[in-house]
Amino acid sequence: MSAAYSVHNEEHNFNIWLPLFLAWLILAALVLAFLPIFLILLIITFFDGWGEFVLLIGPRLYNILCALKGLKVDVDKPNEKVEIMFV
Amino acid sequence: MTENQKKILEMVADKKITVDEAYRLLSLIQPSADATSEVIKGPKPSPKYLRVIVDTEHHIEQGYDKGPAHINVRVPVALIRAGVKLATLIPPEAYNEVDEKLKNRGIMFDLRNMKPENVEELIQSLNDLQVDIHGGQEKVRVYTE
Repeated sequence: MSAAYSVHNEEHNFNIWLPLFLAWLILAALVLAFLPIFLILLIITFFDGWGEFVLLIGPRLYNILCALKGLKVDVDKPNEKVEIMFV
Repeated sequence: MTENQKKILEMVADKKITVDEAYRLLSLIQPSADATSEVIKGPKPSPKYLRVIVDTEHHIEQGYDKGPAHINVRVPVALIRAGVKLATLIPPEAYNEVDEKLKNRGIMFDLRNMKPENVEELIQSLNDLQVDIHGGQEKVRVYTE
């Protein structure tokens, strides 16, 4: 899956195409770095009802990221065109 | 070819409607044209995308009229499913606060009633969704495909 973002107006002519496996690599590194903090947070919140939320928020956010495939936003104005696409 | 299909093709030839609109109209009249084949086919498949299209003659930016604008948004239905699953993670203690905030914004919606098993039913019912608003110089269309 990849994300594409383009802006064309009088000031900018900008296109970016980002393969999301690069973002996942960065996310994986961040998860590893914050894992100890996450585990402490999980223990603290486990008994006050937020434990499940903390435990599952990562997989659910990943689920949302995967579900973005097919999302397309296209704004067409006389002097500006913006396109955001997940393919 | 039925009378309705002929009329739609004539409207395309006269440039009264676009090819996309004709395709949608043809797909809508297809079930009534051949009801028996619909029975054989079974229920409609779930929609894959929610489409929101806004056409406006004038859009205002920083107090100035910047001319016409066309906005086309295609939201995957899978994103709705994922969003509902995420919302179900909210602990019961937080529901009251969320409900109160929603009520303050005029949205009468109880999050407790939102369950993943109801989402499929909701998505299936979106198959019949079609909203067309023509308000002066603005045109808004919401439909699924």
